[in-house]
Amino acid sequence: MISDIDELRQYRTTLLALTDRRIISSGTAVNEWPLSEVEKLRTKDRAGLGTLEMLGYSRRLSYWHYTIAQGPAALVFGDRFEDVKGGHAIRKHFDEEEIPEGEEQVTPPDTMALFRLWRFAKPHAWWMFVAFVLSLSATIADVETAKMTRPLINLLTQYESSKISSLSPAVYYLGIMLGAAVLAWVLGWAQGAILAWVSERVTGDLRNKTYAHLQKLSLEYFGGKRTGDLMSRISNDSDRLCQFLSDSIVDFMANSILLVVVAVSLFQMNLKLGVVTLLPVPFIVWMMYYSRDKLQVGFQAGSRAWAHMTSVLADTIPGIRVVKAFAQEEREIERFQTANEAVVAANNRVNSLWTFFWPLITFLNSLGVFVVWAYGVWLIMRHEPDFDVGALTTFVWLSMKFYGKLEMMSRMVNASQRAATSAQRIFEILDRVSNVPEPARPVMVDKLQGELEFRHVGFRYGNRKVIKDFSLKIHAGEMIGLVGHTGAGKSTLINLVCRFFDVAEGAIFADGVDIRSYKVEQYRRNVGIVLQDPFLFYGTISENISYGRPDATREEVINAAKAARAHEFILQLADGYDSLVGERGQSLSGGERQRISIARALLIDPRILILDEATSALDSTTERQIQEALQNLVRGRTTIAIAHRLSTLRQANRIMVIERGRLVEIGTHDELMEIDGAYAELHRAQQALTKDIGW
Amino acid sequence: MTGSAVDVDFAQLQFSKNDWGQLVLTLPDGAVHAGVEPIRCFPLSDPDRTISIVDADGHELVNLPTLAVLNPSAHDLVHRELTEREFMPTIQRIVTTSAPSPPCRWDVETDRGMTSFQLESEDDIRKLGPSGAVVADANGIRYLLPDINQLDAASQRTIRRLI
Repeated sequence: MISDIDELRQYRTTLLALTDRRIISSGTAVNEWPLSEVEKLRTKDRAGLGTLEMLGYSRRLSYWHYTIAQGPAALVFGDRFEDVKGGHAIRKHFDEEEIPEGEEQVTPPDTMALFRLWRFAKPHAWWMFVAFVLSLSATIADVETAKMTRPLINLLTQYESSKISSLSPAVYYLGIMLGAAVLAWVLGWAQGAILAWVSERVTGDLRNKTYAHLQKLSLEYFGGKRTGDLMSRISNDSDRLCQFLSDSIVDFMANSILLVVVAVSLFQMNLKLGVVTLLPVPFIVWMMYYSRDKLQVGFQAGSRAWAHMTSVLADTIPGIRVVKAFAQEEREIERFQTANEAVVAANNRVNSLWTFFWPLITFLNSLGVFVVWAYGVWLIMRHEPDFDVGALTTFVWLSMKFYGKLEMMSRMVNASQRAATSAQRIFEILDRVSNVPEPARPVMVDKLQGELEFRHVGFRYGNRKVIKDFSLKIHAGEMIGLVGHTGAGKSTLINLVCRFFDVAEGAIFADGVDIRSYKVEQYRRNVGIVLQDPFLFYGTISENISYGRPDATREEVINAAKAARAHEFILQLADGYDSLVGERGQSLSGGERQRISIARALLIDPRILILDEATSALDSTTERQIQEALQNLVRGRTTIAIAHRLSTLRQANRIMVIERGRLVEIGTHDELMEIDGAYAELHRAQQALTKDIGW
Repeated sequence: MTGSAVDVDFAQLQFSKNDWGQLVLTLPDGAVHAGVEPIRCFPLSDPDRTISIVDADGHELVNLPTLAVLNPSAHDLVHRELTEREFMPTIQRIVTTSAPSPPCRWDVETDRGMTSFQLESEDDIRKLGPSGAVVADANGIRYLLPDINQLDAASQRTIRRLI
């Protein structure tokens, strides 16, 4: 391992190595200690600074500091030391490199995010091309019409000065103008319709893909994310992208080509005037660039503020009971107002930037047209050859078109920045890698036998080690009670069995195969879980019961409900099994919901069953009913049951006690009472409590 | 443990009415239960199958796959009892609504005559299958719309705006 901070708390690297005979440190000087002198290694960490102490038999031999980043390595170092010291052969540790480290992500550069949308647009590339051609033809038709103005104006001036007597050629020019306008209308309509459809499809696909990806991410990811933020990414940001795609992207391309076309025709008509016309362009483009960078920062701040506001909503609306119970409505209103004010402020910052740049760009554009007028007047004054009022009109018209488009494009800077920010936020989700990876060559399994074995399992959250060297074999069909103080690692152990997380060290075997070798989905199908506070989805009771097996027949649903002791109370509901529950649905009591969740677990007929304090939230009468229901559930299945009330573990074959992530005791109730250890103590404490408060 | 008798010869079940107007079930083994109630397990999605007979305390006595398994006289009694305890008018036409969206008052024509009720929110309209719906009024009375497509055009427009 590496110690990256020295004794004086300066950043300096010291290398530490462990061999089967000694510990070597190599920093400014090389030191070594034979293992026989070292009694143990101890790690401490405090406010981000870790310390590894090497303790001898009579004194501390040495110590090293390290930053949190080195924390896991220090823990591993300590473990390995104990392996060697204990005289164990160094056991085979599963290569941690094989397991993808966390859900890391690479942030792509901003504007690149928009290009990455191409993957979703690709299936519709043909339609996008058609839209592009339509848009281009519409603008070219526009430019061609502009060229009609010169002969038309000249015709009119000649008629006015009585040089000619008939205006009949004017009909021809007018006809072309009208025709071009109609053509531009039809083309614009077709292009709009196609683009609207394509962009809706592209963002629809993007939403689906993002949501599907989100569902596959491990629980760890959701633990660190605010619900509202995720929701706003999928709903709000994708909508913004859709708008950008339909309104801007093809127009942007078509306009850029049009600008070139117009510029070329300006030069063709009159080189000098062309140059003058395009004089303000570089300055405008520079302004657009400059404002773009400023806006980018502003939009990101805006998105964050918006996400924060949605988070407040997603937080307080489900938690409204708590808010009301503590009479904190006013404070929540204030919290929302603060978040909302942040949105307003962020948007105002962007707007003030924007409102400054926007008229400035408009002014520069008008200035461009003004220059053409002024220069044109001067040319006519000087009787420039091959230049007349008609030519000037065409020039003015073309330059107005040119600057009009340029103005539109500068508006798009706004839209494209907004869209790039949104795209980035969505790709942030898509770039996450699930840290419960699917195996490359999965072992296929339909029904497991249910035998479970933990071999030297270790797990940590960051620097904190929650499960340490945990080994246990559970026979198929055995029921294990899991007891321990809060924070002892019980829930973590269960999360590992469910593969919500993967172990950091060692392995868990089901039927003799590492559970990481099964397909996640196939494996989880064999695991049923009943939680303390069961979650029911919005839907009917029968839909909720058959959640894990939507193809179950009505008879199977009823049988599961009967076994879970839920059938009779369901019959008393107005709509029986068709009653709506969950959010907005019929309100059920805790015990009723628990029994529905037991029926749900029963229906999938899992070989491995997890009861995570399934009865601790209930009163004792309800608990008894649920105990009955659980007896049906437990029969013939490998069961791990967490319980605080030891009485609920009567039926367990063995009970294990966990303390600080280690297995300290295991055996039957009687055996554990005999040992008179941690379990017996817990038992006595609960007995006393029962007497006191009459449970 | 509930008394869910699984292996019952359904044709052997005897139903009668006592003087209190209660439905009485006599099981093949001679046990008599007064005040039993037939309950449809899936009143909306599959009303004609899985009908449970529960005793006065709500415990299930028998679970009938359909009413057809009963002997004819029992069938009639249970069927009548079911229709008596159910009140779910079928909406045939929505005559007027006081506002286009809830909360509003609906005047409707049902199979049980004209009526009017208060609809509190659009959440009270629940889709049923591909084209059916159930509307619950402010008092919890439910109205059935077995097939929206069978309604007249105006009623269809009203309901489709809300689901």
